[in-house]
Amino acid sequence: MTRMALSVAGIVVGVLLSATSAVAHDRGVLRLSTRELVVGNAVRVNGEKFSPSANLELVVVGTRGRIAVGKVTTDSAGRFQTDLDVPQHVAPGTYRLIAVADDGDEVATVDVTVTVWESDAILSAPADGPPTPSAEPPQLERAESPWVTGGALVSVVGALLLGLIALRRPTRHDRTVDA
Amino acid sequence: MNSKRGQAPGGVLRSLGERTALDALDYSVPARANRLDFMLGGSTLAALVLLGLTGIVLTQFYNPSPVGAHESIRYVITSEPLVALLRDVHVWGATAALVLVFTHLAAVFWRRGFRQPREGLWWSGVLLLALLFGLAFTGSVLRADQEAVEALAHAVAGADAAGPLGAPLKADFTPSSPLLTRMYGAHVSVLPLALVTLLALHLWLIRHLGVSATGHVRVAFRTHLRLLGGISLLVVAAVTLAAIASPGSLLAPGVEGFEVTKPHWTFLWIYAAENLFGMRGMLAAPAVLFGFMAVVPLTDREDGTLATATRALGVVLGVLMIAAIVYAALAPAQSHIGAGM
Repeated sequence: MTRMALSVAGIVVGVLLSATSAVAHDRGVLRLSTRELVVGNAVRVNGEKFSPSANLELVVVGTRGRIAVGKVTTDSAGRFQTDLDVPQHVAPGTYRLIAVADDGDEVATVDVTVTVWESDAILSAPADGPPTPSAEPPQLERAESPWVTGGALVSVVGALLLGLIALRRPTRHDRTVDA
Repeated sequence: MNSKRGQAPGGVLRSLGERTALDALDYSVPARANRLDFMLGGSTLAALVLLGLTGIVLTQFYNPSPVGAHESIRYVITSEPLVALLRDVHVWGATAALVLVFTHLAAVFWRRGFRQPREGLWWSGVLLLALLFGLAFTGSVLRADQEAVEALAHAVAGADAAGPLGAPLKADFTPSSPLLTRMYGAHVSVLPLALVTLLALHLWLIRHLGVSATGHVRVAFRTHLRLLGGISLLVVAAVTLAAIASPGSLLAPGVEGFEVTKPHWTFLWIYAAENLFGMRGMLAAPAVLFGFMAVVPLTDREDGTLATATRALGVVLGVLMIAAIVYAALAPAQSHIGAGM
């Protein structure tokens, strides 16, 4: 019994260890010269404990969007240093600066605050220029299926018929009179 | 075929009834409760069930991260016809629920269904209305489009003005989680849980205090349920038809720092107050409405002198609210929080 328990425990430990070693890249650490970022200014970013020679994209993520602010490659020790310009079109607020690996995994994050208001501030803008806000819906090609629309119409008719049947007037049989 | 088998259908139903305590539904209600104005609350419940069911499907497709929210809805609209239809049903279901609950509230107010001993029933209903507003708001910001971004910006500005009470709506309340994601959490867990809890209390009170209908003629509750089911099916049919005829919109991804849209129609009366009185108006309008509804059972009592005044004030507020919605719908979009247009 003890031998069996040891065997099971060994298998479990083995599975756990193999799962741990399956992580493709290391999680790193981001250190900023300041966490109070000023629009239009640069901030020194030091990274360490990443995978060696890893390509990382640095993005700023806020409540409603993200914007890429730079790309770096780590050295053989998994470190990098870069100066990031805080884009003019980032609105003031609280954000996360995230390092994203090639496969899309977020491998490091640090909270930052952006200050100084710009009247044309945006967050969800593409990096190639400020977008224009619009109250008009974009032209979307809605997915349509005759089965879905037909099924929905049949359901509507069915619900109407069943509803009308259920709404028939209460009969005398339904009524009771309190004493 | 033996006799046991011959009795199977009735036996199964009877057996099921025993084990699910369906006998508890064998009681009578006033015949007047079968009138439409007494079924508005039950119809609202039907709309809420529809919202819950469609919402469960939508959560499977929605990405609550700021990065992917808008894109996930866009994907549903352009690639998943059935889910897109369910989303439209969800949107129209919310409209139906709010229209029905307001009509229900107006009917109860007019027939003074809040009077002793039903004060708790009224207050639980008022809280349910507040929760529905919360659900409508959190639901509308999840689109992450221009209207959503502006609505959220207003909420954050209102939270700033509200001091410590507004802390949960501030972006830095929990820096590790974006505000949009927290709105999603509120929309799919916190608010629905509170809604179900309050609804349970509301239904409990209705069961034990009864509706405020008068008259000696009574009908079986099962008959009432049948009629309620019929109306609920008509509500479902109307909502689905509206969803097919006029699908829910999605504006372009939101751009912060601008005000070019108006809010969902349910918030237009607040928008109108903001047009006229600024941020104070935005905070005061709901405070006045809910404050009034909170004191109604205290001021409109059978032995009270303020009953007539309370009713008159209620009518004035109702008319003002409708007028404000119409005004805001017709007025051009305005900038309220210092954003560009």
